[in-house]
Amino acid sequence: MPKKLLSKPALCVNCRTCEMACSLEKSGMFNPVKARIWIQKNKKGLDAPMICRHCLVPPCEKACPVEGEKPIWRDKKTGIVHVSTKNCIGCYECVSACPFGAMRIDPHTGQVAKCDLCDGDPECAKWCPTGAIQYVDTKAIGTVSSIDKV
Amino acid sequence: MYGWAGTLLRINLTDRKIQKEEYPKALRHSFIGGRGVNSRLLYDEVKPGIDPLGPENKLFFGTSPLTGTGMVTSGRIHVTAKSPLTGILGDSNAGGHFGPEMKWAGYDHVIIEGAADKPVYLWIDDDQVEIRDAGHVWGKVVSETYGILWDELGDPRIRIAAIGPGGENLVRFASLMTDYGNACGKTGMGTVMGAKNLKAVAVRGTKGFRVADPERFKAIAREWTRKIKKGPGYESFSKVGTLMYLTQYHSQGRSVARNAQVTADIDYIDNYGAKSMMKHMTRSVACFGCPIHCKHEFKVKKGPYAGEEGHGTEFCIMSAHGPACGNTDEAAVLKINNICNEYGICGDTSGITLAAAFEWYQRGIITKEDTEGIPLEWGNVEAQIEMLMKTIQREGFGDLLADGSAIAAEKIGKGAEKYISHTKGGDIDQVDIRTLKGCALSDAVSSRGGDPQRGWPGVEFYPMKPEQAKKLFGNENAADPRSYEGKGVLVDFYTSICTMCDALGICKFSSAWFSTPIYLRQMGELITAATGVDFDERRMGEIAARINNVERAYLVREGITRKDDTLHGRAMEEPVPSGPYKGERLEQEGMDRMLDDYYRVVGWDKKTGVPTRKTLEHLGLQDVADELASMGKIP
Repeated sequence: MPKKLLSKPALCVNCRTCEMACSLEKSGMFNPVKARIWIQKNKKGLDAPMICRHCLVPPCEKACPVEGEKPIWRDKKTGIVHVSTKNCIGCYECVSACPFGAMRIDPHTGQVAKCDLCDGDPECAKWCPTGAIQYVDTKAIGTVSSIDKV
Repeated sequence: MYGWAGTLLRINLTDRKIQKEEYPKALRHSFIGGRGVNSRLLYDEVKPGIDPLGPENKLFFGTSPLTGTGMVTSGRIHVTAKSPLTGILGDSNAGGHFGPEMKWAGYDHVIIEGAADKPVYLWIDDDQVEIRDAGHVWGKVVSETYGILWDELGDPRIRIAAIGPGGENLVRFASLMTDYGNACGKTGMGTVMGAKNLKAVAVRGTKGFRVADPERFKAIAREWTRKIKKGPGYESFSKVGTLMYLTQYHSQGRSVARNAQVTADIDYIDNYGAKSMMKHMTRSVACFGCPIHCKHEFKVKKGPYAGEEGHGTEFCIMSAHGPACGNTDEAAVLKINNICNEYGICGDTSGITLAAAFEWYQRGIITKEDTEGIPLEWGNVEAQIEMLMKTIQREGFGDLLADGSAIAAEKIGKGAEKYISHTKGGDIDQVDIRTLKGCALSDAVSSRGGDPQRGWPGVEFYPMKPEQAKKLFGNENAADPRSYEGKGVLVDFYTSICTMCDALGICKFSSAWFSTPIYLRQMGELITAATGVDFDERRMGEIAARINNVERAYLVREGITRKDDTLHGRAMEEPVPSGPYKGERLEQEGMDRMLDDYYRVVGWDKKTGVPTRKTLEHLGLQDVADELASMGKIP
């Protein structure tokens, strides 16, 4: 199992640097609607980084009605869930299906976009100043909860 | 175009005309943005002598090429107009997320002219701009206004800058609130909004912008973040924020209380500091793009104010409504903090104004009859809150206080003016300014009246070795807070940094003003990477000087001269009564020497305090020199 992005709302201060790092990497612009990560208030009133979990059984992939070559697929080797504009019909079933709000819609093109872990070196985690977004080895995840207390 | 969005949005509320203008190259290259461009536009478009509450006043919202990049402390919005509190240049900037949103919508500056005949708000949705009816939110507090407008516009991520009842009632120190708890507080920018019948500006931006050299931009920004985090103040500042000044000033023997009547050894504020305050804080919050996260959310857990929760607690409000009013009940001050934020008034100026009223009451200049039975006795929190509410509503004696302490003192007479301290109508911060000569000079020459953020030389709080002071500022005594020597270069140095932070829309806590080694050179490097235009250290220094001179010329046009460059009231007249600085004073002779020195450094006439023609022309401000000459201000 490769590394995973973890979101730690207790450490998030809502600076949104992650959104800008993502936007710049993915679109060459500073524009929050181009980012594949975003900060949203959770039920506890904390600011939470909404990130793709790259699920083992991705609900977005399952919800996609396209037959044949699907525009959403999980790369078994890297664990990264990808979305492509090829074959995408723009129905947004994947957006509704994601329980984490991680599928974004670009309001200008109407196309869906999502995190691809920057092919294994995610910018958001590199820029997060508080450790609210961490990119960790799955083998270490069991010990990560202690980071909350730092 | 890189860095800048490229468009100025001009909205006339009188004839409801909305225009988009190309951002002139000369303007952005000479003033960069934020405070710089705002001040130039104010000088050009707002003529001298106009009524700040009339339709001739204009309101300028400004961002910079760094605003909305999120990789440096780039969340600020700078708002400028003629101030209804001081009658001179008014401006104030706030953090939060409003500035970036305006920039992503495609506007570097928004200019608001005229006045609406009934309450309106602006809705800026990228290219689409509307003036909408605000009758249903007029009279509402700030958070309620946000809620109603979010529902109406259907998106809670829209950013709103709004005024509360304070601005509607034309309290002269009304604030403009962005997000929760971020205030453009000083100089009454919210009052100007109120006078224009403009309740709020709502904005959504999805257009974004590009920088010239993203890789270089990222590399420099990363280096800045590293410097900020390694800075000596970061450790405590990221946890406690500006509340740390409560403790710091007290431990240095510089704390003041009861309208600055008492100083230093004040037993009853021993326990009113960062530590006692932090027990109410629930979490840290940052402005957009900021790794420092100095802000907090709070919730009072016990006592009569239990359950009070809110945002944005800063040193200024905690001191002005705290010890300045003889009050050390921190839960009560948190309650007052919420009143200021919700009703939209400056927490600092409102506290200092109330503190003056408490002293007038103590001295019998005003009595219970004047205050309609409210006993303004030191530490009487109920009376303090009641009088604050009357001020916001402009009721009874509050109507007088709503004009600020300087105007109120003049109306009251009976020697009331002896008990207020100010420069050009702007308040002096709650620290004993008599012990900090360079800070006093900075207050005296600040373009918006008394104000630490215009160029207080922070080095006076942690004096450096004479050799180092000599090397940096040309005089061994420059960093010594008791000395009047070498302060011209010192204050000019810090003023340039503060001015440039405001022009770049970045937070001063990420600059050399606050011990982070980010100077004009580093700022120039980043702005060059953002815009592709070469801004080296020399050019950055020139731009800072150009901004300061345009602002000074604006003040000169309004009648300001050398005689106004001083502190008024107690600060100049009485010595420090106790503590390590006992007997220390601000002497007129010393102040005069410092002014001579400062004017020499910045190239202003020694006798009048007006920029010389040579200075203005060197900075490319021939038109300004010609205008001042035509008014007989310069030869």
